[in-house]
Amino acid sequence: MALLQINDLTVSFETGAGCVEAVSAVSFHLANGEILGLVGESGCGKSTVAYSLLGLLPPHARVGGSIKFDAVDIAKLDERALRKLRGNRIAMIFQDPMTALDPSFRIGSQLVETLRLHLNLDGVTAAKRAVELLRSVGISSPELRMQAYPHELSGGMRQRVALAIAISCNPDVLIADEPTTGLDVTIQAQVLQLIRVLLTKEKRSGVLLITHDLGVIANYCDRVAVMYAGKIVETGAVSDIFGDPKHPYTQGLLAAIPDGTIARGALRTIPGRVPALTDRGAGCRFAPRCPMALPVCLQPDSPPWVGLSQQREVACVQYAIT
Amino acid sequence: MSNTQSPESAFILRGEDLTHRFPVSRTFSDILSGTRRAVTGVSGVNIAVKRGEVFAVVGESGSGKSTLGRILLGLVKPTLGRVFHEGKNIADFTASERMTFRQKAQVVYQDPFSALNPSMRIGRQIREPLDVHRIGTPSQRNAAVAALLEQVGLDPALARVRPEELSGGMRQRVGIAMALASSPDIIVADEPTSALDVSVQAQILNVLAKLQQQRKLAMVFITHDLGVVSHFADRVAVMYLGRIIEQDDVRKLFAEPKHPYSRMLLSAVPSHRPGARPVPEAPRGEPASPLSPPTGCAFHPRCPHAMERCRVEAPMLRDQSDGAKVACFLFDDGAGQ
Repeated sequence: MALLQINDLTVSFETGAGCVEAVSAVSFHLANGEILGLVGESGCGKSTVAYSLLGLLPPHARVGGSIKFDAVDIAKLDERALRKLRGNRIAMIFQDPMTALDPSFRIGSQLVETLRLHLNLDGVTAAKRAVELLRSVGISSPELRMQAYPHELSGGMRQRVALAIAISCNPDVLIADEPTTGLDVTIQAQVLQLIRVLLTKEKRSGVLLITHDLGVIANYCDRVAVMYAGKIVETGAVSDIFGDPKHPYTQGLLAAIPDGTIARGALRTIPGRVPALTDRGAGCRFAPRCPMALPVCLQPDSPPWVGLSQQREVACVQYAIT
Repeated sequence: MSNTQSPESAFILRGEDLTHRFPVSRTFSDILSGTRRAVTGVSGVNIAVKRGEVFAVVGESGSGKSTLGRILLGLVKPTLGRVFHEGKNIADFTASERMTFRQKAQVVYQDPFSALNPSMRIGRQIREPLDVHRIGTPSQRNAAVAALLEQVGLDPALARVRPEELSGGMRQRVGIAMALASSPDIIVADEPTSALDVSVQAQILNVLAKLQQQRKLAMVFITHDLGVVSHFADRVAVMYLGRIIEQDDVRKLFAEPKHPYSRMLLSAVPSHRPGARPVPEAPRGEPASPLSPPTGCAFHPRCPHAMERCRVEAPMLRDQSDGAKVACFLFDDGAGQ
């Protein structure tokens, strides 16, 4: 059974210029022991999805659809119930670890506080557990590091501490929003490896990894959902999507990544640009940029959601024609 | 393509023994003990960029690659060493030679928004170098601005808008047009696509490639993105903590990295190609702080091949028989394997 089941999640914001929809009818699930990648370019709504899963959206946001976690609909919970869930059963790490760390407290006391609050541990046990946690995220001489302030640590080190705090209560779900985007590539590899090992081995938890980096998805995720302009356009196992992308947007995105196999200046580009939030017409939102677009793509009920195989679905009309 | 015996005239820009130290602000205990500390950002770097080639400088944060770029442009004066443009030491330039150098060596930055003046229409910003250097008549300058906008793939009518009205990709196109306005022969591009989405990055790289080829521009391409390097550059230097540790033709270095750090770096890059799987073992350790660099080879605390000698002595960048340059005792005999 899925750990997390999201159905028709729609998030809109009241703005001065009217109501804009950032996320439109997004559905996916997350199972125990897997890393699901949510990938897309800036403005596609991937972070809004993450924030809505934790009830962290600003008050002027309107959330529709359902977010089922453990038979409870998170979208309908009040702030008190949400607070019980957050950190305890659903944890999160962000791109900037300083969002999770308080600059004026030693990292040891921040960890200990979390442990005492969420797990009702006494001070001594909590301190012992904090040292173990720091060691598990690969921090050397953890007893000494307990005394350090966040500013005394490198960016990679801080993200490890944030990860230690996130996993301290053995969460069922970890939501990681661009966790390695500010880090050097060697450190990125270390942090992603840690997430894999600490959370998904032994099927302890499920991880939702949000990133713009297709390489990260290909190397560290099991399944992937590709988002474009607020909608999921394609989802499936990583090996399927990267080996044989079906949606024209996924195809364009993968062909646009520079590497040594393409002659200089011959990268494939996607013509045009992402439509503005206020300017998303009827039908398939990618149609105006799509090399395969047909008149039917602009019909209001386009694109159809086509199941190609178990776990492999694509929102494109070319696969609906039988 | 051997690059060892090129005559001086083949190089458009050359840096010799470049070292740069920054003073570090003193802490209270430093003042009490009377110590002055300095960080060595760039250390003993030799670099020679040929006419019309794309020379990439890669490294992680703090490796000194951006400082090197600024030294090459004459924006930062090196503590030691010299920079030559067309064979002339830029420190010895007369005022008019310096003006010419400012036209001929241009820069493209990572964040086009901070490089652009938010209150100035973009046409005027692109025109500014032409005004400053008094290139052409005013009407010729306006025509040049329109032509530049077209060359970077923008509608010339956009000359009348301000930067805030443009997307990130369009702003970077403006940044490129500004750099090209004074007809440079070399451009230092410092992470020009790092702030952009991959589909926009592809557009910008294609624009840069087209202009580089048309104008036979030399480029120093500074980036941390190895995918971009393998796609875009002819030669590459890998930096670690202020030093070049390996330099080679791009295809050779990517096919067969020699220095243990180059190998670690390449293996850590996640590939999107099907069948790619994570590195079996994540890289070890973190880059050392430039404030307290390790003794000997700066990479030795993370190096799987570190020997006793590496802890005390820093290896020199040595020519290898296959044309590569490597700074590692494993390659000290120059045999290239």
